[in-house]
Amino acid sequence: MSFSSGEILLDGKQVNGPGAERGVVFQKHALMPWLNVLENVEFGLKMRGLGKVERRAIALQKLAAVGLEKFAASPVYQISGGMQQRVGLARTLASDPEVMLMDEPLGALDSLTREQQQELILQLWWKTQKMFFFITHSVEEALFLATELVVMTPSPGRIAHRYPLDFGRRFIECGDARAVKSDPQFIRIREEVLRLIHATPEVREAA
Amino acid sequence: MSASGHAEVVPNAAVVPAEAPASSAAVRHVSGYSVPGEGSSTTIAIVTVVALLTLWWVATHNGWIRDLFLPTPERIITSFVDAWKGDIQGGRPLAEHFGWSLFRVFFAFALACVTAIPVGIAMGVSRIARGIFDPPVEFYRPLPPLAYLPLIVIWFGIEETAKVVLIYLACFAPLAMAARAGVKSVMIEQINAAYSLGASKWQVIRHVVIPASMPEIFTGMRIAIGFGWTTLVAAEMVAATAGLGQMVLNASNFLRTDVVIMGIFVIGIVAYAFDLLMRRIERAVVPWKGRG
Repeated sequence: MSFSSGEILLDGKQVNGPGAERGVVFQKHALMPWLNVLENVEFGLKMRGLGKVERRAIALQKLAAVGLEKFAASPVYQISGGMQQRVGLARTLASDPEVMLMDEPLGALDSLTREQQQELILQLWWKTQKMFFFITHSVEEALFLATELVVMTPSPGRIAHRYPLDFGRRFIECGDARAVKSDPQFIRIREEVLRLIHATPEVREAA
Repeated sequence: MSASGHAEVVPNAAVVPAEAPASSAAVRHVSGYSVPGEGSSTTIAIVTVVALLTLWWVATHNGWIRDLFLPTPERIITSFVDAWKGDIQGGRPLAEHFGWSLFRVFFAFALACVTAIPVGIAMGVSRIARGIFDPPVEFYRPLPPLAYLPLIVIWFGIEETAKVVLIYLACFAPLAMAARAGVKSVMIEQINAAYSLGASKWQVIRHVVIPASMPEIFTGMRIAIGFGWTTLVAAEMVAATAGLGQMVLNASNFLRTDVVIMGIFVIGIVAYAFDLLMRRIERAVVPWKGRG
């Protein structure tokens, strides 16, 4: 797909197509079922010609970061949807991208798993200190994760509103997601964003 | 699903269903909502085979059918033993016929695998390859091999080459089609993921497209080898002195119905045994089939 106007810059460099410096986590996990969990995490490193020992070490480290080191040898079709999505995260992190692009990565998960994954993503974000660009339909998820919340309108996609937020950082400090999400301030902004969205139907948020 | 659902409401019912008569009322077995076709058919299949063999035995022993049309099952076994010893028209032992046929079918099949799979993948990934191969393959694919057999004989003579070429052509089309369909079955998310992880176009083909096509290719291989056996008799119609197809055709000329039926059984059993082997290989190579 080509864009109608404008340009995409990452650190001043023009972006013309997919590349390993921008890691993508997809809505569907998009893992390779013919590879086991570890081999899936190694995939990008293998494509870029890293030696077996080196890429195995990196992959195991990233698997540990998402808490799946015990499942390294498992086939990907035998683990749960939440675990598959974590393998996808580890695979993207293994390439050490400058920015993580996440297109509704938690959309297909049940709500309990989804909340656990949100906490994991925040912890990874804090540990790696990378820029995460996260697209979601869930207002609560957007508020919880974002440092900069961008509310968008549908076709034509326009930026309707921006909010600087710090609920993610608060979670990193206190470690209690429920406390952050039940904070009166969190609820107030949530209602405000929801009102904004309902005033302009079918708004998407990007955080 | 329904049973476990009820078990949550009445936990004891699932643990000791036999002791509590009241709980058997709680776990209601709902019938009429099964998935059409579910369950094992092995027992029924065995019963069917035994029934057919019994019917055959009864019909031939009571003289319902003349021996010329259908000999008794024992006669088939006797003709198998005779053929094994080479005690049939032509004087060649069964093993020799069998060996020649096996060589023709498997050599042609192997040749088809190493050519048709790359061609099919190329048709899937390249617009140019698709443009080149699509018209000839789609044209000859529905033709019956017997229709172009004379042409093959004119071109390749009456030696082994013509026989192998005929079987090869029969195997080629389904394999190429399967490989092409396999390429089309790759999920676009997997390709995008590979690109975003830094893979080149060739790496995407080598490490994503080809592995993802394997289940379809295996299905194509099973169909192709079936086509190979189907074409065998046609291939051995011209100037063959050995081969299961030739043995069957020759026996029919002498009205040796027992040898004809025995030959058919041998071809059928070998083809079935090979298909079972292919299914085992398939489970070992693509265990993720249908679960990816």
